[in-house]
This record gives sequence, C-alpha cells and structure tokens, in this order.
Amino acid sequence: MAGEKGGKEAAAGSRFLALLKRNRALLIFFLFILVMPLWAENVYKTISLDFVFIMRLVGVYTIAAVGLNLLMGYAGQVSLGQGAFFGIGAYTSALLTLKAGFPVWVGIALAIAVSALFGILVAPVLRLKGHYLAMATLGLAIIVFVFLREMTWLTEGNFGLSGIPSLNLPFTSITGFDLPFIKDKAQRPELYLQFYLIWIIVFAALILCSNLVRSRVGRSMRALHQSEVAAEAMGVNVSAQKIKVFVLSAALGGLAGGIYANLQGYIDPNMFTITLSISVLTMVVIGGMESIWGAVAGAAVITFLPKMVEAIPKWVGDAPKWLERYSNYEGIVFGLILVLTMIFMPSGITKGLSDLVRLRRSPFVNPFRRKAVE
Amino acid sequence: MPLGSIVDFLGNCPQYIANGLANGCIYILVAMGFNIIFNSTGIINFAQGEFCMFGGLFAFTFGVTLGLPLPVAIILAILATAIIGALMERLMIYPLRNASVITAIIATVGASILFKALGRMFWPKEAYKVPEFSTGNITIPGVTVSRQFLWVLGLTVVSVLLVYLFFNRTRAGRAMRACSINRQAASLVGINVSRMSLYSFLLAATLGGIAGLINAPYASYSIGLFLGIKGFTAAVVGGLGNTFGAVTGGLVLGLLEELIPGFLTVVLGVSTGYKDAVAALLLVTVLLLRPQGLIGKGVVEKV
Amino acid sequence: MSRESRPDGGANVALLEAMSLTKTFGGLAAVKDVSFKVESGSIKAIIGPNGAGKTTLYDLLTGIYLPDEGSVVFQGRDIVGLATHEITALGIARTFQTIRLFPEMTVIENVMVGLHHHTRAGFVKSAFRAPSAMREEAWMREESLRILDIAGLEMQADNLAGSLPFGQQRLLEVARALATKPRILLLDEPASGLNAYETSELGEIIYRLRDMGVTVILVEHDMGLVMRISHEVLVLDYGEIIAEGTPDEIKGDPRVIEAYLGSELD
Repeated sequence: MAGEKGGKEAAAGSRFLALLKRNRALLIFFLFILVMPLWAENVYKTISLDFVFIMRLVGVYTIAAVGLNLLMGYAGQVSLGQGAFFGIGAYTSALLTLKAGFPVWVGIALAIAVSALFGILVAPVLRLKGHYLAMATLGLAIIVFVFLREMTWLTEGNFGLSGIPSLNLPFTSITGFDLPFIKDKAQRPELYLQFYLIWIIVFAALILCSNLVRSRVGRSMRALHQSEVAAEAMGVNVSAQKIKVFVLSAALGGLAGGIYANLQGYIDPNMFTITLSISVLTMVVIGGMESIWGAVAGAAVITFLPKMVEAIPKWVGDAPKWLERYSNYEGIVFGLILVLTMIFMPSGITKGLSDLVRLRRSPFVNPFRRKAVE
Repeated sequence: MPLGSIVDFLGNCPQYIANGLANGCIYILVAMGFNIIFNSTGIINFAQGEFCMFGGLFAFTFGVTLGLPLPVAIILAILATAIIGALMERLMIYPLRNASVITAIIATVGASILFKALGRMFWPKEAYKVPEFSTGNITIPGVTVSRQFLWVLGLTVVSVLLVYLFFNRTRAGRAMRACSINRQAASLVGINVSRMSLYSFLLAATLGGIAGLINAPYASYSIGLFLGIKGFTAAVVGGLGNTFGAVTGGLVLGLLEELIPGFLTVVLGVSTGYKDAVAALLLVTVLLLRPQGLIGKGVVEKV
Repeated sequence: MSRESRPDGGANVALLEAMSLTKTFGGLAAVKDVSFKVESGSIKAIIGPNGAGKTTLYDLLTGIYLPDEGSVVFQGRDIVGLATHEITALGIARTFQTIRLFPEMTVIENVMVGLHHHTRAGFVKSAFRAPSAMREEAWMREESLRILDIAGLEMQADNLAGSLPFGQQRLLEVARALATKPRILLLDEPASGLNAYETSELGEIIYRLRDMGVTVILVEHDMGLVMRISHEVLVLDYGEIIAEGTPDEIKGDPRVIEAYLGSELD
C-alpha cells in the first residue's frame, strides 16, 4: 500500500517536473528571443551572421511549418501545397497594401482570410488519400504558381511587385525603435520592431497550436491519422475534421506569406514555387512530425544554412569556390535531409534524437514506473 | 467570339494534333513508369520525372561531350538512367519497404529534389542541345513535323510493345503482374517481391530515360517536375496502375495540352503561359471526379 | 455466473432491426436478404464460418458500407445513409476484428477519443484553453479512467496502446467503444487470440455491460463463450441466415450442425 502511494507521489512529482521543464524550456527560449538583439549586433560584427535579420525570416517560416505540421504530422495528410498558400497570402497582402492602400495589418489579416478561403475552396482534395493527396496538392501548387505568373494584369507576372509597405506597429505611425542598450548607433530601428512583432505572433501561434494538439481536437486529428475507420467509428467526423485542419494550415500559410511580403518589400511568383513547399516540408521533417516547437528548429536550420554558407568566405578569407552559391546545391542538402531522415528516423530529426536520448535514459526512469504499477 | 479566329483555330488543329501526339508519346512513357512502380511497390515515385532529366542529360554527355556515335550514346544514356533507378531502389525504397505512406512520399520527394540538384550540379546550364536522330522537317499540307517526330512515335510504339511482351511473355513480367494483383499472395507462391521492386525501378527508369531522350533536342535539369506531374496525370487519366491505360492517358493529355491553350490563344487571346497549368488542372479534376481514371473500372474500396 | 433470463417488461421492443439487408461485391453476395431483430438488453450472437458475411453485416449496420437493398432501423429510425460517426452518435458502437486502436496514442487517449461526440470544444476553444474546454477535458479524463476500470486497464492508462499485450488491446477496443456510451455494442470476434482466462474475463465484462443496460451483438468463433453468454444465436452461411434461436435450439439444429458446427460443439 505504502509503495503504491509513494509511487503515485513520484509519478505525480515527475509529471509536475515535466510540466515545469516544458514551461522552463519555453521560458528560456522566450528570454533568448527577448535579449537576442543584445548580443546579435556583436555577433553580426564578428562573424557576419545577422541574427536579428535572419530570425525574422525564421519566425515567418516557423508559422508556415507549424501549419503544415498540424496537417501532416498530426492529421497525417501530406500536402505539397503549403507554398501555394504562402504565395496566396503574400500576394493578397502585397496587393492590398500596395495597390489598394490598406494598412499593413489589415492586409495581413486578409491574407489569412483569403488563404483560408482558398483552402475551403480546394478542400475536396482531402477526399484523396496518401500519394493521391500529395500529387493533387502538388498539382494545386503548380496551378497557383502558373496563375500568379500569368495574371499579369493583377500580379505583374514575373516582373514582380516591389515597394510593398513595410511591416510596422499596428495602428500607429511608429515604424521602428532604437534599442537603448546598443551603444553603437549603427541602428536598424525598423529591424528590431519587426523582429519583436514577428516573434510575438510566432509565440502566440505556437502556444495556441500546442494547446490545440493536446486537446480533444488534437486527439481526433491524431486518431484519424492512425486509423480513419476507427476514428469515424468512435464518432469523429473524419472528413469535417480533415477540412478544418487543412483550412487552419492554409490560414497559417497565408499568415506567414502575408508577413513575408511586407517584410521583403518585393515578391515575384518564382518565390512561391514547389521549392518553397519542399522547404517547408523539410522544416517539418527536421523539426519532427507531431512536434509544434520542432518547427522553430526546422525553420531555423533551413533559414540559417544559406546565410551561414554565405558568411563562411568572410570568416576564412579564401573559401573553396563551391561554397560560393549555396542555392546551387541547396537541393542536395534538402534532398539528403529528406531521404536520410526518412530512412533512419522517420518521425523527424529532433524527435528521433529525443527518442534516442529517452532510450538511453530509460533504465533510470523505469524503476519509478515499475514501482508505480506495483 | 469572332468567327474568323475560330476558323484560324480549326486550321491550326492538325498542327496542334501533331504536336500533341509528340508530347503525348513522352507522357505515355513517363506514365508507364509510374504505373509499373506503383503496381509492384504501391509507391508513387515522385522522382519519375527526374529519370527523364537524366536520360536527356546523359545523352548530351555521351553524345556531345564525349562525342560517341549517337546510337551508342543513346544506349549508354538509357543504361546510366536505369542504373540510377536501380540504385534508388536498393538504397532507399528497399530499406523503406515497410514504411508508412507518408514516409515513402517524403522520401521519393526528397529523391526528386536530390536528383534535380545533382543534375544542376553536373549540367549547370539552363539547356543542352542533344543531337537529334534525324534533322529536318516533313511538311504535309497544314502540318509541319520534324523528322525526329517519326522517331518519337516509333520509339514509343516499340517501347510499349516491348513492355507488353515483357509483362505477358516473360517469367519476370508475369511475376510482376502477380505482384500488382496481390503482393502478399505473390510472395506466398514464391515470387521474390523485393526483386520485383528492383525490376520495376529498373524498367521505370529505362522508360523514363527513353522519354528524356525523345524529349530532345533540349535537355535540362529543370524538366523533371513538369514531366513528372504530366506523366502522373496521364497515368491517372488512364487509371493508375493500368500500365497500358497510360497510352490513352498520355495521348489525351498531350492533345488537350495543345488544343486548350491553342483555343485560348487564337480565339480568346489569352496568354499561352497557362499551358503549364493544363496538366495540373486535368489531374486535380480527374482525381476528384473519377479517381479510378477515365477508362478504369469502378473499384470497391475494402475497409 | 449462469445465464440470466431475458429482461422483460417493455420487452420485445426491437432496439435494432435489420430488414432484408443485401450487399454484393462484384457480383458476389456477401450478405443476402438478412433480417433480424435485437431486443433491448439482450445478448445476441452471430456465428458462421469465415467469409459468411459477419463483418460485412457489421459494416452495413455501422454505415461503413451502404447496403444495396434493405434497411436498418434503430430506435424507430432508419439509419441507412447516415455517416458512421452519426450512427455512433445515435448509440451504435463497434469493435474491429483486426484490432484498430490508435497505437501511438496512450491507452487513456484512445478512450478519450471515444468520448469525442459527448464533448463540444472546437478548434477555437481548445486553442485558447477556454474554461469550458478545460472542464470537458477534466471530465473526459475522469470518465475515461472509470471506463478503463471496467475493462481492468486503469493501470495501463498512460502507456501507448500499441505497446499493450494482445489480449489487453482487445479489451481496450471494447473500452474505447464503450466510451461512446452506446445503446448497442457490436463486438467483432472479441475473444480471438485471447487465452482461456482472458476469454472468461471478457465474458464477465460483457455481462457487466448488459447490466449497465448495453445491448450486445457478438460475432464470435469461440462456441463456449457464445453458448454460455448469449440469449439468441443467429447463424450465417454464405451471407444468408440458415438458423436463428436460443443457444440450445441452435445446438440441436441439424442444418447448423451440418453446415457449420460439426463436431465443434462437443
């Protein structure tokens, strides 16, 4: 009896610790982002890696990757079309702010809406399964790309849209702020503002999504992933649930695209080809299926890689020539990551690694478990 | 809609049909590759289009860079592509034979990205001119086709016939058909399913290589994606897994892809750039409305 | 425990009635003109050799397949054409012959999915952890533990369903179906793969379900179990009903013995 009680307490204790740990990781990451500009300026000067600048993009891609992960990692529906929703969001926001004079944040909000709407429009593809769904979403991505390119009266085609209003503080005329603690006034006020704005959105999105996946809705998503027939027999409206996740994923893609357009100031259709869909897919694979916070890691790896490769020549003076244009062999990196991860740790790199660690640790964990059962 | 432009369109039709046939031949070969692999492994090989890319680029290397006689260069190019297909199967598909569908999809998508990037690495130019089998044009009133066109038709017919004979007259072919009907049962009667998977990749890569060759005169690292999606569309139109449904599917797609943009341009004055979306639109439409293919029989999905 | 008499008083009211159900696959009739009634509170067994159409019959009752002909009336309502999840919500739950748990979810999560249609929290409420969603979540957890307790699985609550031994996976399937709070529970060969001890446990659980007011239909090959617990037995062969009656009647029915049972009974 006493043993059982002790075991229960230990179990409860470890659960509490796990909770604390989870929140602590979150807290540390939050602080890391908060104080990043403090040291990032110096890092920039020493190794030519502009952390603040790059992390804005990491944030954008994180949002798109989380969207795809809800759909693919949790609900098990492979989409090669996330880039299309990203592109639709980008063009919506760009056109509204550039041509119709909408405020940036209204543009971004409508980017979400239009992408979600497009998601609802094409949701019938979710009747397809597995390979068919992947091919159909690939087809949709191609259709969207061709239309963005060819509807020149609206999108200017390959010429692209430039001069898109920049991301700023909503409902104010404030477009940036100086950080008081940075002595060197090589200031980039707009950059810091955008950095914080984006990461506020990213944190909000990540927290909401991680709440979602640990809820009734998240369970139904995972259930239909593992057996559609059983999920349906348990009272889950499988097709409706798939559509909702798909639309949410599209909305997140649109949000990312909307921010991206107002961040870059210039877009053209070639930014939103199938390559973008594959990049986002690679981020999910790196971050791990069924891992909300892994999306950050995935987005960071994929976004930092080219910048680091670009920076290497500046560190070493004369770098090997093949390092010069990362984009030439980016595909080799993506391809190898995808293929090798699928062969060796199909649940994704971060998850694969953490499973390995857990396995190594298990002898220390198990005694507690066994006691709890006895 | 001005009547004159419709007359113009109709006048152009023979030319559209000829061009459509030529492209259709390429799609047929790519689609057959999709079907063969799907039948023996249950996998849709997203890297099928990249086999075509390799076919064309290898032909350039052997035929132009190394200056080998054309027939030799062609055979070597096909062989080299087949070897890549076999390597892909042994290194990636075989280890993943028990993996989930998602894993298989992501892996073959990864392979396609990898192949394209390798193609770009070794053949960095936008386009390479591969020597044609014969040069010059043939003009019949209303239609001008290159002599190459006859080669394209001939090679396609021969390839389809050979594949037909392989599946119907050889032990390995029959074994592969057995796999396509029921893999488990096939393995129970002693068919080496893993070897069939290897053969299917060899065969699909060979067909892809031929498709890449007849896609000449231009070869490029970037053709894989579009040829892949078009080939898959042809396969779906003909009924996925129906090896010879690919013939119908390829021809239908090839013709539509010429006739629809032709109509749009000549009659309505719309940009031809939309041509790139025809296959994808057809694909999505057919998948949604008739997933068993236009000529396939209805299938009951067993739960 | 001995077999108890059929509950009466308001009895003979069919909870579920199948009328001339027919389903053909590619010219082959898997289920042919099958009609039967299930009374509230009873345990009905459906037996028959492999391929007799038992699982197809379940698929027709639960809306996975549409019948070519015939109808299914549940609590006075024709349910043919309803989606499976709607039929579940009305109160018909099932288990699967080939186990279809959610293997990568924990045992308790599996049961919580069964409570899906008894809870409301949607995407927005769940994402924002609205108080109502949190209350539901707590209720689901409590309720699931209670159901796991019935199946004797409460100790396994936080283990992955896929890691359970086979017998416990079968029990979890029953528990998960029970979570949908069915009026009628369709069990598809629940005892297959179970050892003698587990089978008798299962029998106890089925009795307990009956006591809770759940009507049970049982497709089963274990004749010992069938004869011991069911009130009525329906025998299918080649998709057709060849006999129907009490276990004793079935035991003595020469057609059944000839067609199917043979020496298995003794």
